[in-house]
Amino acid sequence: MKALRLYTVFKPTDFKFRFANGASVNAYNIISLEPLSRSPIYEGSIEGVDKYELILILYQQDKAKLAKKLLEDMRNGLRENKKIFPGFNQALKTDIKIKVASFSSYDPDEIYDVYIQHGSPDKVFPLIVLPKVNRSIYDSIYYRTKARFLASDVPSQVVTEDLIRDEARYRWSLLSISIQIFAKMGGVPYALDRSVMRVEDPSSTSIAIMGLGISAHPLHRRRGVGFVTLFDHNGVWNFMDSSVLSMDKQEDMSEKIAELLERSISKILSTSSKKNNILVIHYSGKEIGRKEEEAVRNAIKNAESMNKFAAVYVLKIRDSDIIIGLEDGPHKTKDGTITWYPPVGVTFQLKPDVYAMATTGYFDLSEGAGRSMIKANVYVGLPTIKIVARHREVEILNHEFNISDKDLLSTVFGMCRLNYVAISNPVSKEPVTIRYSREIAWITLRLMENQVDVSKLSRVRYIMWFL
Amino acid sequence: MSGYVTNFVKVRSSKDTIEAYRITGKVNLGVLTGVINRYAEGLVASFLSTDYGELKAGVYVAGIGDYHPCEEDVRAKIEDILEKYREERTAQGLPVDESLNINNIIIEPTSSISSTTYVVANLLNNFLSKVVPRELQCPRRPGERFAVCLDIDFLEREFWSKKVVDKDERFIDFCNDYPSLCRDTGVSCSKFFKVVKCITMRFQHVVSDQEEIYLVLHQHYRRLSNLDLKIVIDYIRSNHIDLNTLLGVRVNYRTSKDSTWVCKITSINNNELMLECEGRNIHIGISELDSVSIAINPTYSQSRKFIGEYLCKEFDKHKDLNRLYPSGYFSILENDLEIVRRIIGKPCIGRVCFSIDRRLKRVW
Repeated sequence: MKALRLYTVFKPTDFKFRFANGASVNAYNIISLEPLSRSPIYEGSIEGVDKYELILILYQQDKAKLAKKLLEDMRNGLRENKKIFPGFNQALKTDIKIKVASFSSYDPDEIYDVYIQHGSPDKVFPLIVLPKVNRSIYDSIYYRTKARFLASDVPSQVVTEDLIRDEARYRWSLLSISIQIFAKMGGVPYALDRSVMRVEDPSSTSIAIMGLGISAHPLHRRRGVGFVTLFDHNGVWNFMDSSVLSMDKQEDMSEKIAELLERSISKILSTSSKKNNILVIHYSGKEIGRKEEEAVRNAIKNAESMNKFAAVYVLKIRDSDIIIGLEDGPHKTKDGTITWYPPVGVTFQLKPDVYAMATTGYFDLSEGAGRSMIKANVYVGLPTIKIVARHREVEILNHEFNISDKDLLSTVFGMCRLNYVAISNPVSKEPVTIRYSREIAWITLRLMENQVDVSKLSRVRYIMWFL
Repeated sequence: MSGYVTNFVKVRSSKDTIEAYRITGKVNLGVLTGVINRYAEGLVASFLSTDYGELKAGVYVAGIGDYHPCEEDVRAKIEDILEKYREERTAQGLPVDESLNINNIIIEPTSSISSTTYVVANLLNNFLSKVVPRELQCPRRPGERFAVCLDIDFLEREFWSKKVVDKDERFIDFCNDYPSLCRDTGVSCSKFFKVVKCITMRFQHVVSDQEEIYLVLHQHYRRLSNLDLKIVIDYIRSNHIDLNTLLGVRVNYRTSKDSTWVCKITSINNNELMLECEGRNIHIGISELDSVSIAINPTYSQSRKFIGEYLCKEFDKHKDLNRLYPSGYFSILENDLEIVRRIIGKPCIGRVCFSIDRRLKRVW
């Protein structure tokens, strides 16, 4: 066996999307195949998309031109090419009115006041036009506005003024924006057409994929948030939960995360009717040090109800400084430059249980005899390589299921396929399980500063409000 | 046949086993490791928090170079540095970890530790920060183990003029186009910024049918900034720029080791300035700026606008240098490999010397 062994190559075409009327490798086909579900699959009491009567575009009064453009395109589709975007209702087979309303200043309270004057939050969805800000700024207008709406149990969608002005990006973003709105209304745009992990007896086995992470407050390192996101074996969203942590107290952190896990486990098991329940945990090592990592591992070990699962597998996913190129690889730029991008999904083994997986690089979505169409999901930059490490010391192993490392790595790649934010990208840099750690943490912390517990908000708890 | 090229470089050892000691005892072993690496000349340490294969948990300590201390020497050295640690912490008014007492420490020699094992990769990593000259090291960013920052003058003097490596044309062209971003020209940009070649490196333990150690290299171009508010104010005053141009600029106000406020400058005159920090107004005298840590935060649009208009128009230009495909990246990295080989030389620890290959690892 060679060092740095080429382990496997996961292909996007092996993880098709399931829509209401069929499956496809391309998320864009939601227009012809229709969204998978108009209400949450795991929370029947939530009505979902059909309860909404209005999408309200909220804009600053000096930006009326931009708002008008967005309104017309959302209503009627892109004038120059309706195939790219046929309009919100036309694309997602809904019947929701779309209107505009202006506010005078970029003040989250004022924006919310204007919104609430237009009807009940149960029926009106806010689409807010804001200036572009750096997402790494904690107290930006983006996070403050999102938090203001969430504090009232209202999910929202933000579109930046820069995006509307940037013709080339804007036209390709309209469908993604619509899909995000659809998901935040409680719908399920699409899921994977296969299980992210194959088991011998799927009829009696349920697989839950959990994202687990810790994020520190960007300004006060002693404060942080632990969070859980939960998906099923097809990548269908189930629920999220979070807990505020004191980052300087390892035992307290462990205890709080263990409580979070207990709550989540009891919810998973209460909704499963299968004989065997398997849990795969993706935990994110981003922004956390040895102390936090130990807290997470102790929490997994100490969560008493963990042993109610037939098997528990734990994968730590983190960024890496590893760069891989494919010499003379097939991807070329428009001017013919050979880029050496590796194929998306190529995975190397560094040591037993430790793998390096490329989540950006080149891909080919053509199937079967179709002409190959080599594209890349990275633009003039280096490929992203994630380290995925299996932590057997905290797992509950059950040899009955015969789960291999490749099966577990497949859960990571499968979850990278799920992306409602940039649908032209077939594979995201990070699996959806851990991708939104910053959004979840920062907004949870901001809400906590205003004495609001996001996990107790009934309307947003079961939807992907953080997209 | 095309294969995968990686940023891994094979590291070869002169012997199969390393000579080292293992320290255990009722002490905070993590802190002890830091203290040894910071204060002990001729020793390098690595902390293994849990058993790893046949390696037992503990602090592994090895001599640097050809030196292999006897057990008494190690004990005496540790006793000395613990005293140094206590004195320094006390002088700085910082808490002292009382468990760090030589009587709580058990030192035992190890036997047959493979020179390619996990703990050796970590010893080599800690060795880097001890032997690479401080002036070449740059502040680590999250996730980085060790980094060197090389400016254009150093590269020219040490490598290009001596023809050790090919000239890195990309960086030279950039510095010709924007000299004040690369060199001390005395012009505004050079007062606040310097673009450098940054090479991060770490030793990685790899296991297949055998254990191996690789050096993982990564290069990029980085902008080093010094946007200390005092320096900025002195500059705009001496250039007769209105102090009010600073209104709305965001600054990082570091209030303690663990806490930084992001504040907005809401008023300023020749004597004092007012910051709005998380809803609080804070007055600071201009003469007090020497004793606090306040620097412009260049992430915010208002700060960027100020920097671009009054300090350095091209301050973001280094980003163009980092726009590379892997094909271009690896050709630069092959070049940088020789630079790294020269900078770190032939590391020797625990009576084993390690040599670094001249080629990047390829996988088929």
